[in-house]
Amino acid sequence: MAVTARAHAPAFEVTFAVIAALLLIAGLLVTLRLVRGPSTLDRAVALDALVAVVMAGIGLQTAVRGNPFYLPVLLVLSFLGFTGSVGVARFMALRDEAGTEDVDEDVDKDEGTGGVERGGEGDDGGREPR
Amino acid sequence: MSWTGVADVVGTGCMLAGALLCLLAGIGLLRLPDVLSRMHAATKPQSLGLLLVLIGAGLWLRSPIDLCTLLLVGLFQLLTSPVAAHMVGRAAYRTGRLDREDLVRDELAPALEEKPRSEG
Repeated sequence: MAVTARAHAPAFEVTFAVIAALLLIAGLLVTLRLVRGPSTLDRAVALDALVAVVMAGIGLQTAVRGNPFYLPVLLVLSFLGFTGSVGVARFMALRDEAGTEDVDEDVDKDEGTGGVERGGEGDDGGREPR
Repeated sequence: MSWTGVADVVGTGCMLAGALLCLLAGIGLLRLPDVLSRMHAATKPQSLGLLLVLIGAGLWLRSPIDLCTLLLVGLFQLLTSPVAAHMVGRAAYRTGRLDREDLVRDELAPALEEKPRSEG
């Protein structure tokens, strides 16, 4: 696959660089939420958003290069992006149905479903349930 | 300006708007307090942002087969992301990971009281 960038006008080149930078910053912010957490559902949401950002990046490079090689990847990502979060949500709901609060605490220490105060998460950690 | 020039400019504008929505989602994910409000931020690039980027890419590619693929991608994204958001929001509600003081209206609580834990 010999990919050579099409020659664009300088204004387009600058705009493409700006778009790529915006997507990069967005990906970094979403990854930060993915790492910090605090609960599994937050990570599932952040993972969905990260998949969306990656898809936007693939769409951008498709447009810049005028090369539809990666469009099937986009198709697969739009299929698979949601299986992860649906699986996680299903798993959490099943654990809730079983009423295993203590297992919840054991498996994922920082979820705080038992009202345990987490320390050192900063001011925007997940809220405690009532 | 020719037709292709207009398409290029509009496509670039669409992609810029989509990238701004992605950035907005990143900021919202970091700053909003709980799962439901983070979902509110995170689902913007999943539907509108991605559709804008796909429209932009379609305006740059301008070939029928690629346009069909992009249409399929947008269609699948519109089908799957509400399902995922529904499941995540449901799990967030049922595991109590939200602040009930913030809810304007809570119609799920009486529904759950009527038939508790019957549907999985």
